Amino acid sequence: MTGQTEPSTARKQAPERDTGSDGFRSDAAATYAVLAECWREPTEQLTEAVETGELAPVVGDIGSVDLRCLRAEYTRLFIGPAGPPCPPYESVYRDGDDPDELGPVKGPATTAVVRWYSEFGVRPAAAHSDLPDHIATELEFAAYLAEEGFDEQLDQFFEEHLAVWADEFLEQVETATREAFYASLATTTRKALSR
Amino acid sequence: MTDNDGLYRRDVLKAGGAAAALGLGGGEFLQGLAERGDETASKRDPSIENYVGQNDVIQTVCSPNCRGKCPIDVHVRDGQVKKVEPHPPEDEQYKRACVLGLSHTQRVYDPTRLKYPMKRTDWSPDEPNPDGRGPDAEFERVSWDEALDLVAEKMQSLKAAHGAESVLFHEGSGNYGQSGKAFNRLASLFGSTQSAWGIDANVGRGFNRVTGTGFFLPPTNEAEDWENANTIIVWGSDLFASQFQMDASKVLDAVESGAKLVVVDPVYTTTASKADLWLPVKPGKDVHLALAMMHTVFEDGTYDEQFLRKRTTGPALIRKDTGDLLKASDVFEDGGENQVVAVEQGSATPVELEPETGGPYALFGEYTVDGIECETALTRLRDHVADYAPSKVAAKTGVDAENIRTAVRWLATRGPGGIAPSYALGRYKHGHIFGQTYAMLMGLTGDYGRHGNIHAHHAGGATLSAGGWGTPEDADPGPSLFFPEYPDAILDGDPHKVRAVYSIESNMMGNQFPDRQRFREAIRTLEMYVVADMHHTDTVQHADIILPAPHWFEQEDITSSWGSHPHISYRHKVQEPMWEARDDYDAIRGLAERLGFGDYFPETKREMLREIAGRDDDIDFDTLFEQGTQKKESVPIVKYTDAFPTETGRIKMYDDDAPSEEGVTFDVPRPLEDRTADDYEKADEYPLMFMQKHSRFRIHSQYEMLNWVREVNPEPQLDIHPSDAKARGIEDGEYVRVHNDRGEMIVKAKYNEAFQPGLVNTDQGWWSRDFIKGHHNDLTHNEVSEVGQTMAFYDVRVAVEPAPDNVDTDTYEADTLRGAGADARAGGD
Repeated sequence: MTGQTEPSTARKQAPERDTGSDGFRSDAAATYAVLAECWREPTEQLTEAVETGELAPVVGDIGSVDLRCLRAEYTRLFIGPAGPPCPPYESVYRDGDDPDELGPVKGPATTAVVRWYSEFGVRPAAAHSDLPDHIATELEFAAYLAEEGFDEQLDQFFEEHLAVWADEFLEQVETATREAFYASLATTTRKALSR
Repeated sequence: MTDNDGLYRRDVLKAGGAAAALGLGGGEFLQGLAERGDETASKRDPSIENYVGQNDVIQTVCSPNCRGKCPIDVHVRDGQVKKVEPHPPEDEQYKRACVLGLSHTQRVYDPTRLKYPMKRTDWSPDEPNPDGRGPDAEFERVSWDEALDLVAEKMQSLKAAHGAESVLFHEGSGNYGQSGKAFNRLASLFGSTQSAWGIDANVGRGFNRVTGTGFFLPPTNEAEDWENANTIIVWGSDLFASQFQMDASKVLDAVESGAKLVVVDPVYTTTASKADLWLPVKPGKDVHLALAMMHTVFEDGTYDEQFLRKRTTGPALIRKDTGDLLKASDVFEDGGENQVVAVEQGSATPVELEPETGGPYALFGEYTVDGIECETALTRLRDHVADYAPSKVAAKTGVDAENIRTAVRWLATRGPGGIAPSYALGRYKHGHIFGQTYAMLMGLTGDYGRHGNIHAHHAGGATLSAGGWGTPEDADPGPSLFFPEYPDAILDGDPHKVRAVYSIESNMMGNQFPDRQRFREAIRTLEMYVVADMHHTDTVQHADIILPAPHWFEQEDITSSWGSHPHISYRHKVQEPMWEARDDYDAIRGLAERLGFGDYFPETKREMLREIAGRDDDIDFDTLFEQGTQKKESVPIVKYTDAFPTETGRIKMYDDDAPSEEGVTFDVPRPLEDRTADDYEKADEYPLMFMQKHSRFRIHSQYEMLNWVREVNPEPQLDIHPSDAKARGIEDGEYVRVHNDRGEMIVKAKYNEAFQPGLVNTDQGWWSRDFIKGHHNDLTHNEVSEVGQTMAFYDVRVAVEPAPDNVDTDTYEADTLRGAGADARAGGD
């Protein structure tokens, strides 16, 4: 159903680069890692980063955010108990029988990303209870590929996964959200995933 | 945007500062992922380990409350549930499964499942803010420890201030396993109020008055014996639609062997369409009909004399002066006070009636014994039913007199057979009277204890005997409340105040109970409402603490096959619980630890299962574990072969200690109707009877969210006869307003000639989000009979009119996302 190809086995690892001041060798890795963190449950650190303007490149100038409100919105959009309106999992957008209905979690697409992870020496963390095709985890993997210098494979991963489903998910977020943070985050993420 | 030779952009933002601010520097950004650490499979070795995937087949058992309890094989590929197939149990003739069971592949991966423990944002043990409940309630994720700490804290403080009975442990039927026993165990130890079943117990209670057995439907011969029946009267059950996977095939086996199939039903059901004879009874007139059948048996003289003498109190004498049965102590110096007396035919000598003992007892007549004027119980019954000749009740019941006679003649003269009622009869307020009536009718025809006898539309099956595991010896259990008593207890403190509820396996209080608005009102006043569930039901939306329960495939358990097949089944876990869903047992044990009862609960569920199974002599845990199913050899195939558990050891054909209600005594079966009565006070205002039958698309309110089901069963509808619809100017497919003095619902009208004029139906089990407005249980009421203590869902009247023009039906008429998952309205309110 997912129709992905196998991850390329012939890898060309880019030469190591110097670690920048931010602790990432790759700027792209920093970008994806930041986006990944923004798609996880909001923490105090996140709202502080918004307050101090450090997250302006991601979410623009949205002023102050209230952690409680942000968490409530995250819960409503992505967890439930109602709905949720924007399940943050790849398989939901790719593995349904019918384009008009939400697909299952833990579908063939989920298996496919797990295979990608495995191929590159990582796996879903045992202590992490969410599904491996969560938007944040896929972005985290993108950061990992970028950081390790697997640029071609990163393009292939986008092609087979993030670029295929994220757009529909991000649109759902833009439609459903009542918080500027998530509207801006969705827009920025779309830009980061485009050619 | 192609600025990089077709490559994806890498330069969208300068994220360095943001990364630092979020603490992501130095490569410390992995959260959802972890390094594998096994170098051979790492990036240095680019070969793919495995293209084929790992296939496993795990034997387990489907466990919602449809009673099928079908052993199944779950095919798992690469850790993913792919396919479900029936697995024959130890006794292979009970092989079964249905498409709802096969659809678990979709349900287990439903994206709307509950994922994490949650707390209503504005709830705390000290400030419960009950007004925050309802459709707009907001929730936040909490850890399991936080959730259980909060619940335990509130339980303790309520116990200290108001006594442990102020906490109600409510258990539903959504998950057939042994966790409920742990739930009861904790309730007993804590001393909380426990729930007592108030649904579907009516018919069985009436049957019990006659035979000494029955609470739900009475025991019946196991399904494998049904093919020996020569006549089957299915009464108010559409088992060819709703029990297709299990009981239907056994009835068809009987038909194939030559049995006559009679269906008594106000609806022309699938089962009725396959019957030799359909008796289209009017709603609520079933007792009249059964009494007319008795009339025919007496008139034809086709009663089973030998059976009546040996196994019933038919020959017992009734004192004309007191109406009591003549007791041996009235007649003989050393006679027992509970022993009844008959006279021998011819000599008129009084004799004590022993259980299971035949003799030349007079069945009919008046006799004077020791100066006391008496008549036999059978005489009293015959005279009572003299008023119910088929020709006399034909108009009232809507059933042709000759068809009444034909049906009961088949039962009385074609050898063994039976009457197979469903729970539907008990959904009329006084449904217990039907139970009494047909138990006696089958006493007349001698249909007990033989191969081919049937007493209920589902078999007895097997239940794991856990002894008193739910009530430890040193516990001091609190009181029980029947379901219908909840609102008065919560709202008015009658019989005692309930301030908190912990609910498992149940969507009852928010969806399935009648008079839903009153239950809502009650929920709104609670100080704490804890609900464990797999899905976001209407009930869950009203919770303060939500505990996510795993899918059945994610729990190890032992499943009884009550009401189904004579096996106990082992529910092997197919996959680990997704997200942070956790077995109810773990939650109960976690609470027990916090409440100081941890020692009473084995550390793992498997240990608990082993402990409970060890109490059942038929079951060997290891055999059950290995085989998946084990037949309970002690379950008798043919029931009622020994003395009846009544005072006399016999079936009571007359009850001198009968209860009464509303001025009617049930010494013999006397019809008593509530809203089905033709002269019911509001019959003109609300002229249509309203039932909510079980459909094949639901197990109660389960499977509501399933896309595969919604494709064929997208929205609730009102089945209405075209003549009733046209009289109200209602077109087929038009939205209608169904209302009475409790509430309303707006649904689509469906012309359906299967429903007789005067009777409308909406299949039960829809959630409120499925309705344009209202809910089927906003129309039903919570008034129960004193004797039956059973919710009377079908004893309801409504009026129907076209829906107002301004009603918004976009949910179903606009071309939008389909399925429950597409709709995130809170609780569907």
